[in-house]
Amino acid sequence: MNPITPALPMTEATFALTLVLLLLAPLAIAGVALINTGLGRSRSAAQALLGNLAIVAVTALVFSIVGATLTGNLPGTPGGAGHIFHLADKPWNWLGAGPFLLSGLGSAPPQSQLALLFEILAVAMAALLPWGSGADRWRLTAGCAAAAVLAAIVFPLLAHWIWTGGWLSQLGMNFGLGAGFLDGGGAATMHVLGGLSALAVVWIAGPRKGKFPKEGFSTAMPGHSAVYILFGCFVALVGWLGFNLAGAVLWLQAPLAALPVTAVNTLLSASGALAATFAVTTVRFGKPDASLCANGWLAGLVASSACAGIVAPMQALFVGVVAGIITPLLVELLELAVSIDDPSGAISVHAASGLWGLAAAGLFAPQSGQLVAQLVGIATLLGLILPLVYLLFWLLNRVVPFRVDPDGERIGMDLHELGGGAYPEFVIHRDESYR
Amino acid sequence: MARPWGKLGTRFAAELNSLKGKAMKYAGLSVLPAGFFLSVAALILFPSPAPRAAFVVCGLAVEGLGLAVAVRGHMEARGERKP
Repeated sequence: MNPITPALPMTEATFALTLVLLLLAPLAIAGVALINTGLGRSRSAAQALLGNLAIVAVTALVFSIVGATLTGNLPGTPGGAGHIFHLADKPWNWLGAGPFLLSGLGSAPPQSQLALLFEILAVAMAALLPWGSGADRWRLTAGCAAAAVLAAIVFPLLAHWIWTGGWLSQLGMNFGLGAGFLDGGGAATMHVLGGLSALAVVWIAGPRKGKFPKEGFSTAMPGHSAVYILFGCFVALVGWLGFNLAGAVLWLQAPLAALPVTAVNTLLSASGALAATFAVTTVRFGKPDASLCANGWLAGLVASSACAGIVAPMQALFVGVVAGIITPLLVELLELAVSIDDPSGAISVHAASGLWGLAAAGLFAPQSGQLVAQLVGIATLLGLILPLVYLLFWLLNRVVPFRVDPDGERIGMDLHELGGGAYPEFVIHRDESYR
Repeated sequence: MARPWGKLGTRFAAELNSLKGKAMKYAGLSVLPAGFFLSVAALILFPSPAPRAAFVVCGLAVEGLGLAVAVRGHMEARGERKP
């Protein structure tokens, strides 16, 4: 283990502002939870929302007990070190070595405490995303177990590599690639990780019953509440501003004067994406599609997570517009051409838009070599993290089966897993009503 | 036209298709790390920016290929047809 570069001192004003921003960040989690629930079916709504809450709790517990140690502290802070091997005369910091069981957190430097809070919220967000994709067939215990795996193993690895002095963050120092891999708002650690985990879950659990009949087109299974979905978008914006601004301070060392531009970029990216999705769905279907527009808005926010702290406002708008065009087309492609049943659209919204945002951050960054650093990060996410997550989830599925039994799927997850529905006074649709 | 082996033959063909699809999916997934190692090898092997960038892009292309094979394998394994 070797100590690594010193951390910058943090003023009291910066500390206070970052803390307030991080207290807003849970609204992003709440927004995504509302969207996940609204995009599922009414007979699974209570199980979906309880699952979101349980996943937040499980990730906080598991990350505090196991994950925080493997993530390590910020470089230069006490205990800020990592496990390093040397290859081609370069140090490769591959695993963090933080204090065990959060010991000494109270006396740690302020930025280390804030970094830990950010990471706890980030891992919750990452683990929520596959839950939405497994809606209506993924068992609650299996969802919590998968969240625990992400919080204990995968997220700490990625967070250390990108945020706390790992090899991706040091690509600039070791190989002259810009400032190393940059991910201010957690596009890679939260959204791409969550989106790729969603792909693994969908592959392992399979589609909902009746989604892809042997003959004809896939069955439309619309979300049960457009109100939840669209209100979730409003709530998510506030949380996203918190994540992007706090991340800019913590991971990009942005000065306070740069934060208004980061906030404007976040809003412009989301707005551009919504406008683009609105236009695309109007051209495709004759009318704008509410749930796809919500997905577009979210895709803009996801793309902004990667680049809001780096690019200029008009570039952020461009990034959002491209994300807004890609998202509805990819949602349609995955469902109709590839037979992937992803109710929340996490693969398109979080994985694809996150990857685009990371590439765009390299494209528009002022430093030379930044694009290559971003591409190496993308290659790591697709080439290492996706197979790792798939392998871990595949093994987990052998121990805790992901998919509910056919009877449970027929009567709905609420009745099957909780014994009561979310809307006991309303008539719930049966499967037959979809065909 | 009825299949020569009847229901048993159809079931056997479906099972075979499923096995083939699974093998394709795992082959695709195992190609993904190869793309990652190609990208990382570029950092070590090429100090000059242009060939380094080209090899990193090649690594990403290999990953894209692996992902495409895995997706195709998933479709085969599920016995789904394109609508």
